[in-house]
Amino acid sequence: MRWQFALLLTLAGVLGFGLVSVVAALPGTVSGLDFVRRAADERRNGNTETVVLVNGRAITAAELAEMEQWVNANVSWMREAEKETTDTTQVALLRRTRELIERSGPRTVALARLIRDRALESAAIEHGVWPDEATIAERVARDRELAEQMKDPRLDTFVTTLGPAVYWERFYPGVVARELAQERLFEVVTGDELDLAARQKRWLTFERELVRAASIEVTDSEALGSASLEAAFAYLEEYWSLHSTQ
Amino acid sequence: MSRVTRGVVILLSLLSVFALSTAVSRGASGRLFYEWSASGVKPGGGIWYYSGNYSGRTDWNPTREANVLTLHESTVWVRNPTGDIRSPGTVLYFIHDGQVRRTVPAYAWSLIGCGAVAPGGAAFGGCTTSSQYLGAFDPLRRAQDRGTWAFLLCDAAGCYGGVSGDRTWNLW
Repeated sequence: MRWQFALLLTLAGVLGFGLVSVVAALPGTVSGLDFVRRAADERRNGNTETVVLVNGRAITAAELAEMEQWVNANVSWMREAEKETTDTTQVALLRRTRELIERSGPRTVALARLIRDRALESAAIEHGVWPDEATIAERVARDRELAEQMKDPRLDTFVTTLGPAVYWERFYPGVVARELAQERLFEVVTGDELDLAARQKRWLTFERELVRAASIEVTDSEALGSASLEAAFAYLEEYWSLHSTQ
Repeated sequence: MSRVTRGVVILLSLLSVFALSTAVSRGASGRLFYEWSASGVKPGGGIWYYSGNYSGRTDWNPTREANVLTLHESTVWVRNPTGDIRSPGTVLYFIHDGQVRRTVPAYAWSLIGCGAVAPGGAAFGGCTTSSQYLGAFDPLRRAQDRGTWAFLLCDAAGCYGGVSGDRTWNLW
């Protein structure tokens, strides 16, 4: 009877170990993947009505809902990274950023990020650095080729949920246009500065001045939900201050 | 010359040749080179991708048994188009006989001395501030160098990032 019990215990141990190993290897266990999936869902199915206008450029309800999920995904990632990062300066920056986001609320942070994005986009147009169609197409092709070699579960989840054709043909060109515009604007504003910390500080100061000077109109206050312009500005001020001094 | 003296001379000659060859073999240097990359998704669905080179050099001092003068230097280049990488977050380990003997944490990486900006865009390089991090070790046993590159990217939507593959290299 005793040997049967020992055998049973051994088999249970082996089975338990196997199950733990399989669960640990599942893609769903990567931190924040559910939020990424929801972000893609919001983008695919969300309301395209305008909620806020920044210098005449729209933030839609779907974009706000999507960005809220990205912020949640980032908070989840930051919690994990705080445990795994060995550098104390980086851990402190992660913790302070996460605490600031949690204090402000993910929807407020999402609104703040989108206001800052739209202000940068209008500045890029004013500076004449918005990319042309050929440049955008070239970058999309490069990134598509690159993505085939990448093994990032968050990107895979987002692309799969949105649908590869929708992502690459309808969604990604717009993302690339904004990123190229921002990269070029970054060069225009900070290109003559060699010191990287000074460069970062100048860029954040530029962002702050742009947002403060932007014309912002709320067109659907109910759709903002728990967020408000005042709270978004307060968040951005703290964000600029935190990241300029780190 | 007596047989004994002749024997001693031959023995000493053989020992000298052996010592010289040992010294020369210890005076070797090793070079390491690899390309690394890390990638992921940005808030809003964009792709981030950073890559760079790691090169290390290890010199063995030929005259000492306990090789305290061994040098190891590394350089890293990262494409960073909008300045959103807060730190390369690199950690290097020197593993000797299965044990981590020295660790070079992220804060030991500096732009000083390796700080040229790559043409055509924003980039930064880093190098270890102390090239002698290996310190004293047994030159007769093999050792390994191991490194991981962890990226911390932050913008107004929070921080996100990724880690490159954990790489190990034999030093000799």
